[in-house]
Amino acid sequence: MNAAWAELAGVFVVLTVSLLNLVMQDWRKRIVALAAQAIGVFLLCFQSLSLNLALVKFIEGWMAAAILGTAMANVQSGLKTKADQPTDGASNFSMPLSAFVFRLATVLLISGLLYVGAPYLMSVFNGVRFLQSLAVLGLCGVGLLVLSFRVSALSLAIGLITVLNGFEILLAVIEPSLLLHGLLAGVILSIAFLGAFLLLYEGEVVPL
Amino acid sequence: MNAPILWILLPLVFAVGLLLIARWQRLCRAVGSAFALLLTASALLLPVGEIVQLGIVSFEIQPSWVVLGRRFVIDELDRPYVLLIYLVVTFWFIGSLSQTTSLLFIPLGMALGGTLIAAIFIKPFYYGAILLLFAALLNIVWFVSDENALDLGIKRYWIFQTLAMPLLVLAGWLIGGTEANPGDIPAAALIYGLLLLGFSLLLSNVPFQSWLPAVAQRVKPYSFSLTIFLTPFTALVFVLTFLRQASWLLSSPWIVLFFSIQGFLMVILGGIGAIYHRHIGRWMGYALMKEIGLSLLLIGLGIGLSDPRPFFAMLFMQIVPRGLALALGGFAANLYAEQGKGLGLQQLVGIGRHYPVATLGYFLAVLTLVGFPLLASFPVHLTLWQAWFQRFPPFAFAAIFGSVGVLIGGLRSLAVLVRTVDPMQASNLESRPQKLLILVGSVLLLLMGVFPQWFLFPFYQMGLAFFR
Repeated sequence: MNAAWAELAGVFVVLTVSLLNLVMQDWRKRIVALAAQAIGVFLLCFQSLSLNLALVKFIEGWMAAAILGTAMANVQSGLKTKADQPTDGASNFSMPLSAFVFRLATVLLISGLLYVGAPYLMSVFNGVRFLQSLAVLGLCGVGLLVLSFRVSALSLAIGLITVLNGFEILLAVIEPSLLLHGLLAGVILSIAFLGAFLLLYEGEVVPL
Repeated sequence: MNAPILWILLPLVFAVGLLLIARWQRLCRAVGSAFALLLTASALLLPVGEIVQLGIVSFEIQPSWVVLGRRFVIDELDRPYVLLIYLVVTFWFIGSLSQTTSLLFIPLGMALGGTLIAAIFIKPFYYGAILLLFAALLNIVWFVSDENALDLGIKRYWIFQTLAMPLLVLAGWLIGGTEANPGDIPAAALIYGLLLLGFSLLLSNVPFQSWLPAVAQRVKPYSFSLTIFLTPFTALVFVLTFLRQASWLLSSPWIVLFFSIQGFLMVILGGIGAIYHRHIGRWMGYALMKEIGLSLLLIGLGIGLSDPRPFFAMLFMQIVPRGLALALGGFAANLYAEQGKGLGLQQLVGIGRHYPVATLGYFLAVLTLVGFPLLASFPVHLTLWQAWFQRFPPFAFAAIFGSVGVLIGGLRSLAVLVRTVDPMQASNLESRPQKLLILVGSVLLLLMGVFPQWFLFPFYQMGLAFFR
């Protein structure tokens, strides 16, 4: 697979899974989507960074998904032991059709942002390619939507990681510094750990 | 030996050690306080870049530390900031010796000190935004472990601080580019957008300030006062470091307008919130909003002048009385919280009669935070009021309104605290060390107010040296 196809695949993956993260309710599927997002970020960063550094993005994303998934599984098993609690936790909340449609409508707004913003991003940050700028704006936009629509600690962690993933792709092009990318990997893992920590304190089951 | 290892890496490593002994609280507090005292003494006594002779041993503290191709640099003139941070940490740690705090208070406090220093002295400067985010994440762990519950205010804080980081990093990267090519106007417009939104998120400015009273209501006041005192101060210093990277930013009317209007809004909102509060924790949150507003107004005065250093240096002078007042207020509120069922005004009726010395300290903290004459923060308040009266009187009126609001809110709390319920049952519940610590803090506040040339002026000089 040549570089252009890898880039295209990366953009397709990150935009699709971030969208799924916005509309899906089942936490297991959302964690899988987060892990898949890391693959897309890796493919996009690999266009600008060395393989070693790009692999950091992949590993950090998978670790973050593993941390959040493990914490969520623990919380769910804790809930199952309590008879008066819903056994499937937050997955029991079903999203009304109107909410689903509204979320998709807001995604259309993000599409407008992509259309207008991608050329501007390319003109300001030299070296950023069109597909990369689509991924950057798409991830940041959908991440912000996740943060706006959902209140649980898991969703906040996923939303923030999504926004930062977009930012990472941009920085991979403009600033390939080892320390910077190391610090960003630390930030993403810290957010995952914090999300896992906060899940234990959530206190009550909130819609994901 | 090198300065960043001594004042950044060592405290972070030590914080991990403290975490391991956190279960033995007294030991942890004693060891943490002693180490913080050592760091303060080292920041006060050890010159950077000069040979130090200790008996037969001589060594030199190098200013620079290279990590993965980037540098942490702490020069001789940067020592005042290090000293200030560890002075504050030491003060709070010693206070915690006679307080009930969470298990993580000492380890997280130590880690916070190291992280905040790293955020200011990393090169390139904009990497500091990432380290400030680490500090914010530490704060969140602190808040949650303190209250054993998760609150919407904490979630907002998490989101705002995380979103500030990419904006500031991108703005910093772009500033480097426009320095090379100052005629790059489209990039300048983008820089303004990124920078002002990033500053608003980082400094909890309008409209991102709502988490402050919400978190203050839930978290233990003593630990809250430390985190919330240190982090905004460092964020302000970081913001000034940012602005000083490009001369066109420091003279920009947009930046002046941003700081002035944000300062105006923060003091007004802080004042109004403080008047109507029903919870001492929330009052602290609103008082802090007003204090952040004052700092922004100070910066707004300095930006645009040919030499803004005198106003920037006043941040260092302002920070000491503010820290003392918040520590005293937080200390007293912690005692009330231990005795009562909470810090809501209805739950605190007459409780001040059981803690007379703490209530005296709380009273002095209120007066200091509003800039009452003959107390430590009066000189800074007076300078700011006078300067804004000369430049744009409505902002001076707003600053005074903020102080009056915080004063009314503080006096409302005091009226509830000292209300008589049953005079026969008014027993003193303060321990001797608690009384001693509060009295030391109170006397310091009074002395700073009466003799500012001895106690406050050195901090002003340090500020001038730091913003050289």
